[in-house]
Amino acid sequence: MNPELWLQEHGDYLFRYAISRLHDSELATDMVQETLLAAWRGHERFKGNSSLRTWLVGIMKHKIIDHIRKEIRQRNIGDKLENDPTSEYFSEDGSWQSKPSSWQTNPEALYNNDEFRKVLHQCMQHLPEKQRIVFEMRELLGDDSEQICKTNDITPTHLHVLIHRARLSLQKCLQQHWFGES
Amino acid sequence: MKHACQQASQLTSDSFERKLSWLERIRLYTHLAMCKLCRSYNHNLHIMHDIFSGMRNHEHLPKASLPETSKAQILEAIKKER
Repeated sequence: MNPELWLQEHGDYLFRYAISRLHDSELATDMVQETLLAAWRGHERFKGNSSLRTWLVGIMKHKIIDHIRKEIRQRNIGDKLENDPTSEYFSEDGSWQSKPSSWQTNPEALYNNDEFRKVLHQCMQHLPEKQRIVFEMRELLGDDSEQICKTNDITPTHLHVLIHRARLSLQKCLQQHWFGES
Repeated sequence: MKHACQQASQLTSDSFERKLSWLERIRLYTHLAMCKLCRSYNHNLHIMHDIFSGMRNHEHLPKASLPETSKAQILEAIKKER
């Protein structure tokens, strides 16, 4: 067990992982450090039935969630349920404002396409902060609902509403900037 | 009462998050049967969901490496801990 070696072998990978989630290299460095220190303190718990890298990434996921949770508390990021932004997507008579057209595409080709990922990333950046946070936790980190609700201090119903709003917005954004208007 | 498409869009999203009740399923699928736009929306959300699952399972990490100064700083912190 040698944390210096861990840094050498997995440091860059952990750094890239943290950047992909936090979009901030200074913060990502802190996360690598916290992860390696926590791993060193708890190295007796490493059972060796997963690879060392998987174990380190697991620790880092927790560190990232802790960070997001702290951030949410400190900055009091909110998204009130009372004002319903989804009505923007529908006309007075209740029909779709901008009509979704059925995307003809192969998902695999898209997630391997750098250009597409850039557009997707930009669309995500336009989401209100809380929507973006819960949506990323759900779809990119693959966290379960219970964990996300606990981290963000919200009810499952609130979570579903936030995710629904994020999906409406992303669907429209991708339609406009990638798939083309119908 | 929300209009049918607005309600269907929420149910479509919820179907990824939880098991819909029997009544909700009937409400959603009868609406989808009649409404082409909501069918497209439903289809697009499935595509979006598949894209995210793909990204999750095939880690696409940005090209970046830990700056040397950060490495030194982390090494220092590890040394203190040992």
